[in-house]
Amino acid sequence: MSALSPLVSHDQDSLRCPADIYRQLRDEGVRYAPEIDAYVVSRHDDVIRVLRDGKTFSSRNTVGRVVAADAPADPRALTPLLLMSDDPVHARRRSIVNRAFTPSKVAAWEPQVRQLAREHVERLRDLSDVDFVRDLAALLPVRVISMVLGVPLEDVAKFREWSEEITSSVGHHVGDEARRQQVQDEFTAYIGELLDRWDGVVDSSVLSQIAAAEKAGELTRHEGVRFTAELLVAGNITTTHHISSSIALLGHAKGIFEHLQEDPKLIQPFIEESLRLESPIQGFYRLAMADAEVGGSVIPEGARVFVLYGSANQDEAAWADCPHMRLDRPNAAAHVAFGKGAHACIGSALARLEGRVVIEQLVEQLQSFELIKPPSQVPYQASFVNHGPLSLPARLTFREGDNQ
Amino acid sequence: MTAKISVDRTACQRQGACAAHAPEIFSFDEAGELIFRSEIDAAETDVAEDAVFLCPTQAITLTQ
Repeated sequence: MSALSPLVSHDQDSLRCPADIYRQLRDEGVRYAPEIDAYVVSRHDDVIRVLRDGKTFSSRNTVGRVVAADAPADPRALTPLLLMSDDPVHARRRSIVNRAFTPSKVAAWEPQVRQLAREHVERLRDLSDVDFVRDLAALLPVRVISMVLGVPLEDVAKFREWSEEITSSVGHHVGDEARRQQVQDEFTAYIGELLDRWDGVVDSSVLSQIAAAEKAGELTRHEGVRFTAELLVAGNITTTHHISSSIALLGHAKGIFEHLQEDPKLIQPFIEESLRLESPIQGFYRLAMADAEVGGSVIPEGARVFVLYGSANQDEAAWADCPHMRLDRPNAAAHVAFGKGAHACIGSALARLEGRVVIEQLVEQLQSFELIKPPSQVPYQASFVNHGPLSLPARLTFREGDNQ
Repeated sequence: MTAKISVDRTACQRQGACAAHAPEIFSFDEAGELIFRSEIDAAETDVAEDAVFLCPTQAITLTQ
């Protein structure tokens, strides 16, 4: 048994606040955890060292098991294009799909993302009971990614359904295999149709960039479809969790919401602190390709390694005054919530934008709000990788005179 | 106001995404070594941010 054990067995109190477990892991240094058959890396500098050395620490098992990314058993399978590939294949692919996600391209989406966030928050007025997760955080990310991809509005409901099914099929081994194949074929056919309809103009939509890369012979059709599926899987539940966790922080910590209302410029640093303290991905796996020394311990060749971003983000050695949220950190954005190195999250700019404009809309439209459940009763995702609240029932007071 | 650029030389694979995107900041010398301006103007931070993002090995750091 290792200190990680309560998290692996999904103990709710530990999942909600893993800080004590992470502290113990950092005190112990790199240790083997039999529960997950992996060496756990938890100190900030060790986490960075592993993430920066993709040659020694392969990404082929990022989600825990090795998925045959390049020659899958089912050639039509929607295996991620980037997540589990290593250089040089990864660098080549990433340099192609990167183009659609540069900070300046993402920044250009801000007015449309804000409009969507505004509509989603306005809709909360009409509900008799509001759950911030169910009624806001779970809805917005698919809507945003559909828009950024270039999925027509009338197809968004269908797209949401596929997105949920593809996400759950990647996350779990179980499930209805026939249904998985059906969704995979429908999704592939649908994206194929959108790519066929491409008018040859590269605009801000991600699909137009994929279509152009396909036309130029840089990506195959199937690679384009896999990348699209990967965006859904990587960007949905994580962004939902980020928004939910941010709202939980605002609801549970006294005075912060009012503070942001007084000075909305603090919303960006708040978002960085939310990402740091409540990282939507707490950790991913790597595979040691050679014996390697990390933090004074030896990780043997062939071993699985669990890299704990969530712990690195709470390491007192890297973060002054650590357990506390501080809206004046000079290095606020340097956290590891999006990973580091070659596999750093491609959608980080979009996630940050989405997180910020949602909170801006809440700050703008709400006079105040109150979370109905105390922090100790908020249910959390049963996973030690994905971290976020599942439900946040709330009482809202909208500002008077707005949007009536 | 200026911003600072640093490059992790051990991570850099000289793929050139930065030089293609921001040639006024990043380039390669005759020996194929990456050269860059370590201090840039505020007006250049947008193009530098994109270059940081585009680096396939994420070897560039921008400090504002």
